[in-house]
Amino acid sequence: MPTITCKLKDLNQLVGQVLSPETLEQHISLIKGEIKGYESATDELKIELLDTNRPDLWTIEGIARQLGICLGQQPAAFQLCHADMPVTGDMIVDERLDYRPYAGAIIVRNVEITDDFLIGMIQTQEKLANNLGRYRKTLSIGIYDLDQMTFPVHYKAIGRSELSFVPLDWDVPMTPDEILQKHAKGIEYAPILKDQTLVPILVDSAGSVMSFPPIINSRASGEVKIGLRNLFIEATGTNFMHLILALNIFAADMTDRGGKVEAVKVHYKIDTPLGRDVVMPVDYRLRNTVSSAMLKQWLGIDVTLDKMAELLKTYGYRIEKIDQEKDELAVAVPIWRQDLLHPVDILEDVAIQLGYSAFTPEMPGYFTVGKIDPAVTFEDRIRDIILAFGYEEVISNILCNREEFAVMVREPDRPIVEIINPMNIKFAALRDRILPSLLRVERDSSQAPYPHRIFETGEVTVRDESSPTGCRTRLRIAVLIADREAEFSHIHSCLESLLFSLGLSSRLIQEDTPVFLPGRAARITVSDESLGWIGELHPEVLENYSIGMPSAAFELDLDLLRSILNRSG
Amino acid sequence: MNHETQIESMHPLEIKTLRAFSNIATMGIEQLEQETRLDAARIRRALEWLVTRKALEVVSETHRLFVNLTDAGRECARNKITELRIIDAARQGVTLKDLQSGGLFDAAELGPAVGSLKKQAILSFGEGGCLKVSDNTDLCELLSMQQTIENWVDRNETAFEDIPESERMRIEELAKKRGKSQSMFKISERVFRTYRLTEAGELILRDVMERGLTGEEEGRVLPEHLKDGKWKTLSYRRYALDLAPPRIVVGKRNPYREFLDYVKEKLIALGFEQMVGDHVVPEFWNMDALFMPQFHAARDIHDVYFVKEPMLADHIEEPYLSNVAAVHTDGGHTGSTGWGYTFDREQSLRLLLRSQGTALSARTLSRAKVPGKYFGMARCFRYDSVDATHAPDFFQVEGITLAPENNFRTLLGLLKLFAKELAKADDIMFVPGYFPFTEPSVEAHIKHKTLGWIEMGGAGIFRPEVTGPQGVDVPVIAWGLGLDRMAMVAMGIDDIRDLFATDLNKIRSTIAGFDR
Repeated sequence: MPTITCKLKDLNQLVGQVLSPETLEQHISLIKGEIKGYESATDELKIELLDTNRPDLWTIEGIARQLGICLGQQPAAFQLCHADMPVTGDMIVDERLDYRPYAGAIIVRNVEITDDFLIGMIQTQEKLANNLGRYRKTLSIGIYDLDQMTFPVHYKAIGRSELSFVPLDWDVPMTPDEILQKHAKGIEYAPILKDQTLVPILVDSAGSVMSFPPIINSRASGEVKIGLRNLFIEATGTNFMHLILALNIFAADMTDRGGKVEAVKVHYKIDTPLGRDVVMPVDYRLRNTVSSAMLKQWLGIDVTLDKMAELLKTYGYRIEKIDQEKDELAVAVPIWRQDLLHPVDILEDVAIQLGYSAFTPEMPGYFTVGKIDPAVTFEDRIRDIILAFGYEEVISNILCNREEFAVMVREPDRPIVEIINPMNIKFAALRDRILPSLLRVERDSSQAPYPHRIFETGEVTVRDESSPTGCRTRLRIAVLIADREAEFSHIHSCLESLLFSLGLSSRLIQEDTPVFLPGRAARITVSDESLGWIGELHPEVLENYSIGMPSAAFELDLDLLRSILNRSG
Repeated sequence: MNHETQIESMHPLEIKTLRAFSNIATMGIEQLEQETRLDAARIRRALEWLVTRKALEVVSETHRLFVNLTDAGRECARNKITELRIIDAARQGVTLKDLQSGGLFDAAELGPAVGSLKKQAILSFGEGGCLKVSDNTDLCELLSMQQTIENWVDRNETAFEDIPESERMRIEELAKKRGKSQSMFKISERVFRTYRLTEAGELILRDVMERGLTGEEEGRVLPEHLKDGKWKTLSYRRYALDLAPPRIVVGKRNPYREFLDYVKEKLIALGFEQMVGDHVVPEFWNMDALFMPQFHAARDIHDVYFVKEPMLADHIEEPYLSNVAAVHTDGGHTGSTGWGYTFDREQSLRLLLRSQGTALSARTLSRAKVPGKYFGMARCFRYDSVDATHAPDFFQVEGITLAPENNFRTLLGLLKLFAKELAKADDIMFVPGYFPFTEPSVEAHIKHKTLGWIEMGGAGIFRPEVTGPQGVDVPVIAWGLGLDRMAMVAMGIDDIRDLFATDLNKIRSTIAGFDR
């Protein structure tokens, strides 16, 4: 979820009203925002935006526009895409860039680029490219000095070393290949162009390189400075509708900043959802209908069609038709929104505009029976028994690592479920048994008076070829005694007493296993089924965990134990 | 301690020892052994207690030396001292090297002994390094040393002053020889004290006599005393009852689990049925089924953990896969436009660690009852760095309710119920929220009695694009509660990692102090 930073004064100027931080706080829910901080000394405001489907709200202008609309203003952006918007530029898109097939642009004239405006514009560019464009992978945006370029502009494919130009933050010409290897931005975004022999380049009609999307602009025309008045804004990417949305958002934002947006005619050699010639910004409006009956069903209140229309209008919708007879209201969202997929999206906007405090909570009246999962009921029963034996319960995190849960228990090759992209190597796998979790507790508890008699019941994930996911989550219990006197017979008593409490008994099959001391380890079987292991911890394991007390332990599969019990009972 | 409790708290050993002083005014341990018939160790303990009590005081202190044969000495008595053994060997014709490698001599003692024999001209090196014993050697000194040692084998500890003067010097020498650990005799100093009653002691003794306390009082009531009525003839010692008892290690429910149990029981009481599921799920159930588009930013490698092996699930159950694919592409039969992209069925198979409890709800929809209420307490995993506010893995308490009469108002009613039942909070505030799978969505803030206004959780009505593919045609309320902060307040901790504490001291001292 993006967080944006702006000056409150700048925001207020855009809204057209002076909002104090307190009044802003009251209205912030209209944009599903949260104020994350305000510094009165610097006038700096931080707002987090929750709605990932409303990229138009990830900009200062967008926030101001939605707040302004709700507070009764008519933002200039409503005038966008009127019939006589001049088309003053054209762009040609090379069909050979099939891995990044779309490009588009708009022209903005007569803006006055101030400090705050510039910072905000760069922020918008970043938020859209990062959050909507997944860090430029599916969408990136470039801004240029319109007065340093000539139309038509070509988005074309070239070889990696076919030409060179001076990129931003550099002094000498470089080929795209050199940029990808040496330039900071090139190195950062190189994976997007990995293995491509042809890379995209944006050149104007004079053959001057404007940029190497999605990596870096050229210094010649791609440097945006305070004082510029005319801009060319371009987007490239893999998702056509996102590209249209991003350019429409920019068009709206620039209009609200006092700029005059002019259209660019983009010519594709392949079919796009909007044809081969597309004039941008696109007057693309999502439309849908909603009824008062549906509103009653979803929101639980009565609202007439007229009232609904009024509420939606004051939230920025265009009302297209009110059909009382068919109980149908047809509406369209502005061109900077693409989040109208289903009538329920309209219903939420009605609710937001009404204010959630307008809804009286109502207790659901239907009757249902509460039920604990049978496996959990059994787990709780086992916990109660062991607790009554005087054992202390622990609960552990279940992310672990191969070192602690395999190597240190003398089974380096244990097949555990590992994560391909761990953030921290300490948390890189799922535990496949509980015993090492108890060893972690022992490692950290040498200062706690002995004896230690501890246990944990809980989930583990074990590899299982027969499962569609290659593994299964199971319930287990592990019990451990650590004390000067701790030995096999003590832990054996605990195991037998547990099984006795369930009306069962075990047969131990003496068998060595790496975690336990040879000759003092056994497989636990109940009704001839293997359920787990019991033994005295191997001194090497204790040493690996820096545990200074003899320890003995057992671990049981509770799912298996439960099925045996169900069969026998 | 007053006089009365002094008497009551006296141990039988103290009483017996003290009583001995009624006949003889000043005594040491040896004499007390005869008087009380107790062994020296017990008397020593009693004396220490009585001195601490200021009932006895030390009159005199004598230091005496005692001699003992050491283990090394006993060894020499059996095998002869090193010097004699070297001479015996030399007479067989050996080199120093033979002795060193023969294993019969300790390297540390061999060198000095050979040196000393050479110095006394008893030993010399002959041809080829052979050790040679000088002719006409006087071995008297060495032999009498051996004799002294052998004489001691059957003797117990002996006071130094009781040893004939002729032997004293030799023993002193042997005690010093070759450092402490190897010496043949040990001379140790012992302190002898004599004790007498203090004034206070006299008072206590008088009282002990008057009460007829003998120290023979029984400590415990034994089954044998009860069996034949013997208890009638016995008297039992009074106990000092104000002493701190030893702490016992007791069985204890983990405080965090206790909190989780409480939440579970509450939800059961409110008529919810529990859902459980696997940690590893295909991306399909964690995201696709929840109508999160496959190009959604939250699906990146930096948001969820993917499984290394196998990377893909075997298959996704039909008709859910096709239904969900259709809904993503063009809305299917749900009245939605869908996301308008080509759904990638391979991406659905990618295996990841469940990142949200809603994955359980998605899986439950197709088999859920109407009306029905479900909850899960699901272990979830997010790509976050671990710190005081982020645990490596955590529990999400989530659920759904299905009913024809579900709507936004009953959703708010449900949240109000949770606030009251789980957090004892009456004040609740609702603000618009956002979840990819609900519309409308809401966040509930409650006024917690310790924390003030906090976020309790989020909820919404599942989008038709979520319920439709699972064959559900009633509104489904989906809710999730963030209870970790409540748990932390209940446990009095401020680092979320301490919910999963690994230090037993911490676990033992944490009390789940929440308001049930």
